[in-house]
Amino acid sequence: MTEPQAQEATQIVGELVAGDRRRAPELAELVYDNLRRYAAAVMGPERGARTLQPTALVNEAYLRLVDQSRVDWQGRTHFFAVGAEMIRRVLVDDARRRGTAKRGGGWGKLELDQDDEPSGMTGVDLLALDESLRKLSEVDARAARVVELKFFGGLKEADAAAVLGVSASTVRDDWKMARAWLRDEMSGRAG
Amino acid sequence: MASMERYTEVKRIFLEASRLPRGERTRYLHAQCAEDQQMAAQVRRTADAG
Repeated sequence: MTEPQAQEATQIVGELVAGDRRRAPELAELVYDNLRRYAAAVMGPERGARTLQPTALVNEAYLRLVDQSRVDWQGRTHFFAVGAEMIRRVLVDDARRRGTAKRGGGWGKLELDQDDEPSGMTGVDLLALDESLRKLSEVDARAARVVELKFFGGLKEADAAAVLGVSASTVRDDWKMARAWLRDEMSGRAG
Repeated sequence: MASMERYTEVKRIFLEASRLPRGERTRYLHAQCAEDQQMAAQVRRTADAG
């Protein structure tokens, strides 16, 4: 990431905090490009045997792209919200490109280490998760976004609530329902 | 019932039930889904998966 791009990303994060979302797509593309290159570099050709932490990649992108001295916790939360969506895209695009629809999608196991992480979703089939999240978003877009924010972005309950403009208890309920729904859907039993 | 409406109803019953003591959940489920056993089954399946 070049210095001008980092300055640009930091500037856009500041605009997001101020409520101006006009350049959010530009930030998304910056983050996507950075994540894609960094993920490829980190994991390398042997990545199938390694464990990938999406949230660690988003955090790395944050450290690379944003001047932390100019961004407060709100800016960080906005960045991670964008990062959650972009890392999902990076990982799914990569899995599709490789045609690796089996468990792990070629990235090895997705390690899910958030405190309230559903234990049964370790080693999740990435493409199946993506497809299930799309289905979930058709009936409950907010719950799908909660999963994206927590699962891919590593946002805590309160931060996800701030991003979505809802209470922490709403995020908790959405997470509880989405987790159960996704498990059911991914087990092939959902009706 | 449309898919989104059904999902929303399953979610409502599932979350309400999850806030109750375990011993009261079955009675609550029966009361909420007395005339819709498919709904009851969906809520049970969601609870099992959660």
